Amino acid sequence: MSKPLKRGVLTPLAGLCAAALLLVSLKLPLWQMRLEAPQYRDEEALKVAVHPNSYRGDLRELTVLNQYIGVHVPPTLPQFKWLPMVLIAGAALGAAASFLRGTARPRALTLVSCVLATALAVAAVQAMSQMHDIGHKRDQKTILVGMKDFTPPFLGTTKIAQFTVSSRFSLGAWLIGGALALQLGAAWLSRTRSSRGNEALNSRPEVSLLTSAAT
Amino acid sequence: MKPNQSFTTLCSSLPMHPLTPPSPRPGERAAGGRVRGNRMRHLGFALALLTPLTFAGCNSDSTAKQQKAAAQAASAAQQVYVAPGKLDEYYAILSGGQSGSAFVYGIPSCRLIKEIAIFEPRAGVGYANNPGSESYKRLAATGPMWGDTHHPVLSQTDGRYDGHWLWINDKGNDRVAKVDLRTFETAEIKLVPNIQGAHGLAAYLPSCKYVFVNGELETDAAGNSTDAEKYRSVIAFLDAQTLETKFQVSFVGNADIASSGKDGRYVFVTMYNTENAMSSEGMIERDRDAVGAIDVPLAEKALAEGRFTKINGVPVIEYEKVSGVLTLIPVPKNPHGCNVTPDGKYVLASGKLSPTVTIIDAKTLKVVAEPEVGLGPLHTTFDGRGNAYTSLFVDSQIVKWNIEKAVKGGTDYIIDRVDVHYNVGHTKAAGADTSYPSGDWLISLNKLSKGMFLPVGPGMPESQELVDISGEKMRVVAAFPSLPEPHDAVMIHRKVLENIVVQTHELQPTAVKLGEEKVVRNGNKVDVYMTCIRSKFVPEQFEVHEGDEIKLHLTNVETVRDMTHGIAFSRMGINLAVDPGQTSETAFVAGKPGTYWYYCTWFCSALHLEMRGRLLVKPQGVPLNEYLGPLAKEDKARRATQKGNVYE
Repeated sequence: MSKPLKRGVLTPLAGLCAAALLLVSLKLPLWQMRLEAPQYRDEEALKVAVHPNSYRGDLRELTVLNQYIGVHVPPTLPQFKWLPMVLIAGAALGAAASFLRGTARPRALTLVSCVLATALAVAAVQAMSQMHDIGHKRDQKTILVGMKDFTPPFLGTTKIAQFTVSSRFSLGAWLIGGALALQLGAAWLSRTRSSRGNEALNSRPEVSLLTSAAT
Repeated sequence: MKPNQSFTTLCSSLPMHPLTPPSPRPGERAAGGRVRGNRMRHLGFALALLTPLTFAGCNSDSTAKQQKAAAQAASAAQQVYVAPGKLDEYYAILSGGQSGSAFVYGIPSCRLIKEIAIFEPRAGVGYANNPGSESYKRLAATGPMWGDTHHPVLSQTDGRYDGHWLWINDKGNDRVAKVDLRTFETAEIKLVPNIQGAHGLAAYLPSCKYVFVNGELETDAAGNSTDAEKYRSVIAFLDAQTLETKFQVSFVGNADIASSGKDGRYVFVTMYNTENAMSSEGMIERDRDAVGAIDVPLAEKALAEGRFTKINGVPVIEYEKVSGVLTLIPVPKNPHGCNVTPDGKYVLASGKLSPTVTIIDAKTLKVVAEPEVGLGPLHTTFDGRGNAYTSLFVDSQIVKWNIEKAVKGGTDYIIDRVDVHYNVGHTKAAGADTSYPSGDWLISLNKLSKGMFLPVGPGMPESQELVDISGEKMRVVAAFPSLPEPHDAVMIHRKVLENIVVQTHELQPTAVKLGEEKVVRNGNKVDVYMTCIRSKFVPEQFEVHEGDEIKLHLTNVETVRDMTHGIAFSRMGINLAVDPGQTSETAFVAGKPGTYWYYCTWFCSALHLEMRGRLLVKPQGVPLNEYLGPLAKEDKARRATQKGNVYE
């Protein structure tokens, strides 16, 4: 198989893989937080995982602990409603775009990935704001006095009361990152193939015939 | 028994010479940068022996001996030292004797971890301490609120402990209990009919479908007469799960200690009163007593063929009527322990009054040897390397001897002896009653402690000693006290239980769920369905009339382990304890009108003291304010966020 033919297969394949990763990420945690304290160590450390549509983890225990510091974690977040739809749309549109012909393909792929990345950035910024509110809009009649306002870390580690709190992206986020890279890569690949194809059309007609057959 | 590295470093830094400078003050940094003062606290045992060295004289022999003793003590301390936060290798479960319970220790550290309440109430953990509780009803339905536990027995699969069940007998009231090792709590208790002095207990191997228990004290179960001529004893076979007595084998005389063969044919018991005497003098009259071998398949066949008499609803097979169901093997008089070797080849009867152990072929039932081991042999245990360890009650020793050498009639079968303190009864090596003993640790359960521990009056605690049997020579490495009175022990490796022990109870169908708390009245009966979670009881108050019968159903809805709550009702004599996920009940009658606080008895949180509520007792005829439920109040918002572990 010649190189141009490979590229012709790779682009839609990359689009499909990106779609698959996005769909799989719907079932995976995007972000996780681990809270360790003397009495919550090793396997007993508290864990919270944020999925595209829900929180999971040691939520009841955290709710119990939060009452002592006047913290109320909202039972749901606005992102949980639209984030799954964004990921599904990103998967569907990205896959469709990878099958477009000519210059429409890289443009559409770039557009889809940029919109998806923007939506994710909005979700992240929203989450940071929500985390700030969690640690600052506390019940004034808090049980434990002397506890200062705080913001849980979006990424990294910080100390909150007796807890060392560490946050990081989870597998779902890495898959979404991979999907974005694939979509952008596919866009880049389409663009270069298209320009090289034009050059080839002028100088090497036999190759250009093969590539146009592949597309 | 890998040496702890940091401990090794520490031991090597201990003063071993009279001229060694004094230790730094607590908290001061020793050479090498370690805080020596803190570590020293773990070395009381070693230091007690090391300190006199600083005053030793110049005699070089004496110094060398002392140095050797100090080195041995440091080495022993190293073996039993388990750093804070680190786990022991083994669970040792010791019967509690007249405490009616079982004690769980960690080995090798010898730390007491839990008392399993079984045949006696334990108010602290809310076990059987009030008539309205299920644990009280179950215990009271089988007999008195006291027990005398003797023999803990672990369930096995394929010749190894499987970590599912522990069975234990109550000699005082003829009961057998089953403990669930998922929770280390009593799961079942049953009275064994037609028996008195239910003593020896063992599981029928290899299937463990029965546990069998020996009647040590003779009676006339059939006729309830006081005529000793009519006295018999039974060996009762119980369904290992339900503890229902399936059948019994009866005979004249008694049965003491029990052990099972490994191939499903015979189980063995020692019989010290073949005389069927009623006085101690009479019981030692004959020169020979017996080991009884019960042919279990033959007993089952007799049962299927109807060759039994029903006594108190239980099929009883009289040994005279079914030939071969019970074979008596003569052994020196008044034997005690009865132990089948791990390979199932021999059954060993310890002589007690005779300084011998009788070795019987477990298949042919012939005596093959009777080696002399020392004075007062009571029980024998095994290391899986062909060696036996026999406790010598009179000599206060454990003797190690080789079984095959003794069988061959050689004189060199004794390998080692070690002093224990004092008057050892049972002894048990890790896994000795399985087919695969691990041969590392042995516990010596001594009857007297004398001066082993700080004096606390005329009565002293019981004493156990931990013996390292991994080498050719035995080494006593630690002694630890206990409440009265462990008779026997079993050791199970923690890896067996690693995925079996649960962190929280599964919610039972009777559990009260968050948000569903309520008070239900039916005439003068009031059912209170209550939950508790840090740091609140819901409901936080309820009202009843004087004389109302209150039944409380309390569920601990915590989801993390160790978050136990208790509830005590002031002046009502009520205390419950509920572990995470557990539901307990109690019932009591409301006293005279007034306010009665209930409060949490297990320190649980920063608001533990505030975790309380009010039982308001009003005079008859005064209208009561109904409890409107948790969702009627500000609890609503809090409850909404606590329904589960998924927020969407």
